[in-house]
Amino acid sequence: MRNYLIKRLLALIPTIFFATLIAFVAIRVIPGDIIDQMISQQEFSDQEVTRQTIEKALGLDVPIHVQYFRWIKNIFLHGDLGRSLWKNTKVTDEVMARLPVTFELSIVALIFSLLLAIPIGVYSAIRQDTLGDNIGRTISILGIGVPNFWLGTIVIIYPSIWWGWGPQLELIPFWENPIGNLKLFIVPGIVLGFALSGITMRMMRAMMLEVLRQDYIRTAWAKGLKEKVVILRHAIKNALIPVITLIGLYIPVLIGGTVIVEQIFVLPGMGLLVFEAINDRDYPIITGLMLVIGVMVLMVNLVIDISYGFLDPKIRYK
Amino acid sequence: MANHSASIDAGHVYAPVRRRSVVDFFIRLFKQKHLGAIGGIICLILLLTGIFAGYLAPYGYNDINPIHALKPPSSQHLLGTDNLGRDMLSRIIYGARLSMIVGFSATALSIVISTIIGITTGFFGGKYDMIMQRLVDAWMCFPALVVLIVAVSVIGPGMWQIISILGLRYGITGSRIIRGATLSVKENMYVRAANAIGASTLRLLVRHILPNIMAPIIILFTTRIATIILAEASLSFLGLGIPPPAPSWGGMLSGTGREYMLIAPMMALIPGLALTIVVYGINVFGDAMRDLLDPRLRGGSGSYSLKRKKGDERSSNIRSLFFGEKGERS
Amino acid sequence: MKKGFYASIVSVLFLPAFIFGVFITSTIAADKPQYGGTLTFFEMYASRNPISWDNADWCWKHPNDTGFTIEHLMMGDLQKGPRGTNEFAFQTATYIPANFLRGELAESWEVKKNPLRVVFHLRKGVFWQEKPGVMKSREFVADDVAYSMNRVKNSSKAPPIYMDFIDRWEALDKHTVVMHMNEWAADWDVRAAWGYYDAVQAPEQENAPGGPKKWQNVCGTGPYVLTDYKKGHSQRYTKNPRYWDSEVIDGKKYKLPFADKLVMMIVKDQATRMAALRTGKIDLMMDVNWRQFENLKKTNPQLQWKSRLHTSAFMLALRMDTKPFDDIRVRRALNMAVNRQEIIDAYYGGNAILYHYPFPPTFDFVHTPLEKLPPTAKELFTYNPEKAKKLLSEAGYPNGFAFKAQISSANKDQLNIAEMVVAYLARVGVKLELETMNYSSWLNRLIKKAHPAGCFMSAGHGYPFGTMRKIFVSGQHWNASMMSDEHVDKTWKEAVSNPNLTEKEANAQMKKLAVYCIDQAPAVWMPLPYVYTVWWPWVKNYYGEIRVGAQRSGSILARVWIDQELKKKMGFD
Repeated sequence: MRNYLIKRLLALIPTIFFATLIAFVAIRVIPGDIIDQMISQQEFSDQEVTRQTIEKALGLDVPIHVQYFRWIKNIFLHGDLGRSLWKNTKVTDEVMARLPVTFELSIVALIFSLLLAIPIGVYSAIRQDTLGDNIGRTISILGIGVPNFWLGTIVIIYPSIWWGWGPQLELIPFWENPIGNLKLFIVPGIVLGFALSGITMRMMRAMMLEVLRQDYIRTAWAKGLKEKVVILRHAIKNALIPVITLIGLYIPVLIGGTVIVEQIFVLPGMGLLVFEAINDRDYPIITGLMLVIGVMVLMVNLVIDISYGFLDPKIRYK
Repeated sequence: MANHSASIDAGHVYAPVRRRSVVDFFIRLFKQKHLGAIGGIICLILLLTGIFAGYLAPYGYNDINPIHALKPPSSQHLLGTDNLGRDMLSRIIYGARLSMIVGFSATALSIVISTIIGITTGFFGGKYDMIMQRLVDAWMCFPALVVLIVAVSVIGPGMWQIISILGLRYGITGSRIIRGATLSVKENMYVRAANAIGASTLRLLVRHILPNIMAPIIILFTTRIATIILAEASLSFLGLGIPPPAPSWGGMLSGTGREYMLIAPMMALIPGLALTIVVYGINVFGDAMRDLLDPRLRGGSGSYSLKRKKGDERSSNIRSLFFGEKGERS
Repeated sequence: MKKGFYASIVSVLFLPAFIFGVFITSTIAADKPQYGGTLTFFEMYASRNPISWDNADWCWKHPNDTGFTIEHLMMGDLQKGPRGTNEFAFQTATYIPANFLRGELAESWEVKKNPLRVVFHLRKGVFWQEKPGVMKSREFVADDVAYSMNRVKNSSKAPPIYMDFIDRWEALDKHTVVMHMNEWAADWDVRAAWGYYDAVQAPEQENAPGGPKKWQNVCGTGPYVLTDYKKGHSQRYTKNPRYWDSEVIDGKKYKLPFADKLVMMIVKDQATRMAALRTGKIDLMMDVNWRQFENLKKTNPQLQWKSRLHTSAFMLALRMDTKPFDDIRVRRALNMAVNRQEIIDAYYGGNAILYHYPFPPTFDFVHTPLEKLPPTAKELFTYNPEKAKKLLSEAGYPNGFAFKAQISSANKDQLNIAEMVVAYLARVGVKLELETMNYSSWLNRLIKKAHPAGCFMSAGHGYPFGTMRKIFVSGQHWNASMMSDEHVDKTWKEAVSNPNLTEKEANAQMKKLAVYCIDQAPAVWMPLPYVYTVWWPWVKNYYGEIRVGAQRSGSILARVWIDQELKKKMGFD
């Protein structure tokens, strides 16, 4: 087990290195400089003078590999992710400001998706190819097939006319008023979670089906155990394990990929930050943010892998 | 897959009949997997609509006619008109072609990339495998949407650009699955045998490994198409999709459809419905394929599903789960 | 018994009188301005974040972002608007003729010659806001103005020309400040006193930790104090208790501002914005398009509204420096191939005007009506596909040609219009291919002059000198047509820098120049739609004005009061 852990941690280093490279290079290849945007704020042209002075002021006048090493050095020596080119605020501050929203949205979405997916997935499996199964699978595929921006739009538009329910515009922190805070995240969480539940449902169903064909289940039947016991005590536990790894797959989606839901429900999270920063060509924010997201995903996956190792005896003794 | 089947009817013994495995597959599809059959039909309709769009559509996809904007369904316009007076039915039909092209091309590209990376890393292993794995890890930790946004901003929108970006992004992430399949096939006897005889690497890869991992490849293909069609729709929502006046369903849904939701809901409902039906069809068809192709899940003698035999009085419902009726294997 | 009898008479008479009195006083009281409450609103750019808090960053959006808290030397005189004499609507983004201006931080000013300068007499009794960590509230003095203005002028981001006509600012005494000029500029007031870059910021901001670029250090003399900013979500303000201005309503003078708090929301998604307005979460919305408005009238008929012409024009600029658009016949042909009237009738439901560039009809002093244009210019606005084809074949393109045009994908409405243009041009044999890209990339290519033959762009109507320079003078950023005409450059320069011209004469020059530029057909101009400002009935003392400075709504909203009882009565809280 210890060897496994060490191996995984070592493997993380080159991964993070590649991740930083990808994050750093990707945004710089985009045409459309921040300087041009700044210049456009003016009414007059004569670009050369303005461009040079701004470039110098923003530190963009050195070649790209020098910028990269400077950035890496700052991160590892000072924990400093750099400063926004527009506002001169620290990237870490910007990211930290958005983290709570994303965090809470992810948790609500995850809880909802699991609550919906696991029971339906299990039921679909134990009643395979019946009407119940087909209905369950239809629900899951609707979850996958209905684009979340469409669902989100319907949720925003029609209730405002039918019931006068509008999007909540106050950002209430959790410790001040938990109910008010949750009200903000329930609806977008459900919209987001519905899409994720589709995948989980199918995975749950597939895993249950596989588990039900195992020898130890056959033994349980042979012993004359009731259906409820067989399912709850033997099958679900084992089918659940790979499903946990699915959560690892969701983390990238939940951490940075929620642009659409955040945009529709007015939640200032990390997804919107990425989108805005890309539009502004604010290099340090994008690079810093991509790095933070990447590292968070890798960490969560590591934790899940390790817990998988604890839960699945086959791996533990490798 | 069985190459021939024998069936024994009371009193008769039929000689074994050689059936082609593909035909056999379809027969099983229609007999056992009803949902999958429906899905297959939907996919077929999509394919045909896409190919014969020019003949099927009554109007062009950018025949604007602002005077007749936002008209409800009529004999002239079976699905009504959009905000610029274009026929919705024609737009949907051409949209099928666009979705088909984008979906199939991008998925095919992603499968090619996944297969190349997956097979080579799985087969050769060693340092190459280790480095590639770290690279794939690094790639996978970035959310798809973020990568897509950045990539589209770099290359610019356009049909072929979107296809390449989607293919590349999902190709790299999908290589894991192919690699896993390769690993399990690599150790098989016949591969070792071929190696012992002295078959060249290329021959090994193409003639021995590739055919045996076709099942996961096909499954990956069907799951990917739906994801890619939806990803294109999401890009359109953010304004990064295929530029107008292209009749992309995602574009119609997220652009003018949303704007006119309250005035002409048909504009959003119809492409949304089309998208959902197609994704649904592809997914259930893919499910059925996996059920039928995956040897571990194949039904047959000794399957232990909990479905009650016909004629059994005990009801098969959730109640039994909680009220502890005796389980029985069929 | 008698006592009871009298008592009942009195009560019978008294009760209705009492009820009547209560009724009268409550209705009167309902119209008497109340203090308190929160005004939550969408400004015109509700989908965009503030770009910079520091005017030394030279960002055009600065007055829009900071207008409630930082003031300028001059502002629009709202009493000349709908709340007073109704001579000017204050619904244009940057255009306010000189006779509709009044002093904000300056009470009066004189232009003096020998040496050329403007002397400002500053208002007394104005105080800076109290901002913990930045400064204590103190009196506003001339030194503050001189410091702030010189700082902007000498900023490293200052572009050439804009403030070059100013030599320096100098404080003469506590309440007099002088702007020394190198040369005359006819639009000096826009460039230096109520424009984009001339907000008066507190000198103390620079010494606060983090400097003037941090929102926490923003400090001005305005009606509201910035207390919170969440990027991508909202700006929050509270009342400045020492604000200097007041408003006279029904003969009584009230100290401003009325509302305790302002919340300026930032919401990217249009559907969400409409839902927020519809459900009363937003009190006032400045940018509602006609279709949404028609719908709102049905779902929420109680809403108040005012219409105005959209403040930016949308056009397809054609590169005059490349084929095929170097030939004026081709440019004319394209203009005549687009059926603008159909766009107005069908797409805008009649809520748009045909001809409005560079000066819309509201710019009375410089606008030339359609009938008075020379025939070649007038003809550009007709729909004549036959003549278009004829011109094309005369120019050597009998079978049409193909070209590309770039367009920013940010605005869905513009994309729809572009699609229609594609279809119209196809009918005369011209194949137009759209290149969509996000705003940054679009802008980048435009600035580098790397844009293709066509460029769909949105250009604000600005003010006469600014617009003519931005779009038609050679080498300018927004001159997407690459117009390089000596006559244009010379005429503009002369009109701006000739100190002997009166404002009327200078405007007349711009008017003539505009007709010349239209005749050159450098672009295909699209119809200009009407848009609406919409607000709930509990928002009182608001008459639909949107600007008192360049892109600045500033103290307009300070004059608005919330009828909280009415809001409760209507069921919103």
